[in-house]
Amino acid sequence: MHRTQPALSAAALATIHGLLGQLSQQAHMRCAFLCDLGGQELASWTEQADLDLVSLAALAAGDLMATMEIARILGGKRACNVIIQEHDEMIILVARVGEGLVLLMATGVDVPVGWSRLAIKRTSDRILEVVGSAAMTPPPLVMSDDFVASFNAQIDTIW
Amino acid sequence: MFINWAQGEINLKIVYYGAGMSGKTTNLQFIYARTPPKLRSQLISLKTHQDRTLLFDFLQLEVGQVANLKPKFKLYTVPGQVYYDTSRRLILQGADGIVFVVDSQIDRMDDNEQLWHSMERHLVEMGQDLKNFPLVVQINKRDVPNTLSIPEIRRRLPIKGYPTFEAVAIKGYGVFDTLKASMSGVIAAAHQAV
Repeated sequence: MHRTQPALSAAALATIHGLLGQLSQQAHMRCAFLCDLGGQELASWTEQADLDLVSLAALAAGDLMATMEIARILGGKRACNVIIQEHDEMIILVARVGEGLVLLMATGVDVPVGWSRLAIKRTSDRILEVVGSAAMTPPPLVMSDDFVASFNAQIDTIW
Repeated sequence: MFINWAQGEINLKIVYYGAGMSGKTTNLQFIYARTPPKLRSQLISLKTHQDRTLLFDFLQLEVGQVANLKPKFKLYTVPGQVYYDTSRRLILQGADGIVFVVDSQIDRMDDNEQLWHSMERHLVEMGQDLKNFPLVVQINKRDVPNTLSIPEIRRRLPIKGYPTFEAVAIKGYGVFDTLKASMSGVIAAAHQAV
């Protein structure tokens, strides 16, 4: 099977959560989260408890992929690195991390865009260090032999 | 596929693919309506002013704890109109399984064929092995006039060997049979992979 994303170890995910948490120390930070280009959310920090991160991840990945495609069609040689959206209430940055990850950061409008660009770049580099090294090696999976049968029985009880 | 080891989650992506107006969004709308809220996300739809899918529809389903894992499925549709081929390729990225929705109407068979071949081309470009990829076929709109017979559809489209379900998605017939077959196929493939 094609893997859309390296399976991250618990330690790697904890490190990434820590990096996003460091972003949250900055004033007027709304949220920061990491997903892959397939739209799978991986790690997040947000001040808004009920934020729909599942949908956000799908949309952020779609946004970045669409922008990359626009650039490619226009003859761009370099893949898109950052999208900056300036809204009335916030500024959203969507950055590509390595080949297959997406980092989104939302701040208040009073946070300088230059600072945000630098912050998202540095965080992206640090995430790459985590994903690109030992984190690529998953711990042994515990998917028992009867997992498929158990799964089929479970979905029959739902629908 | 993404595995969150810390939380014991396995995340899988299923894409509903097919010609415009074949019923892909209708499938997701029915699944959304008939799934307990605690097991599903919002249904996200990016539509044109004409209510046609512009980029994708998206819905996440959970099925609770199975053994020691919590499988989560992200369902996407692609825009079906021919000129959105680039968008379809983007959304297929990272797909763990596909449901190909066939429009049974005679005058839609050319579109079905065109979309089938574009799907094959994209999967090959992404390095997928078509013979082993979890692909399920739904033959939709069995209730409308001017439909082709199932044998005729099988003759026109190379669907032999793939799990195939007849459906009337607008009424929900065949929707969950298709979904469950796709989920099972994706889970079986994941089981083999890990």
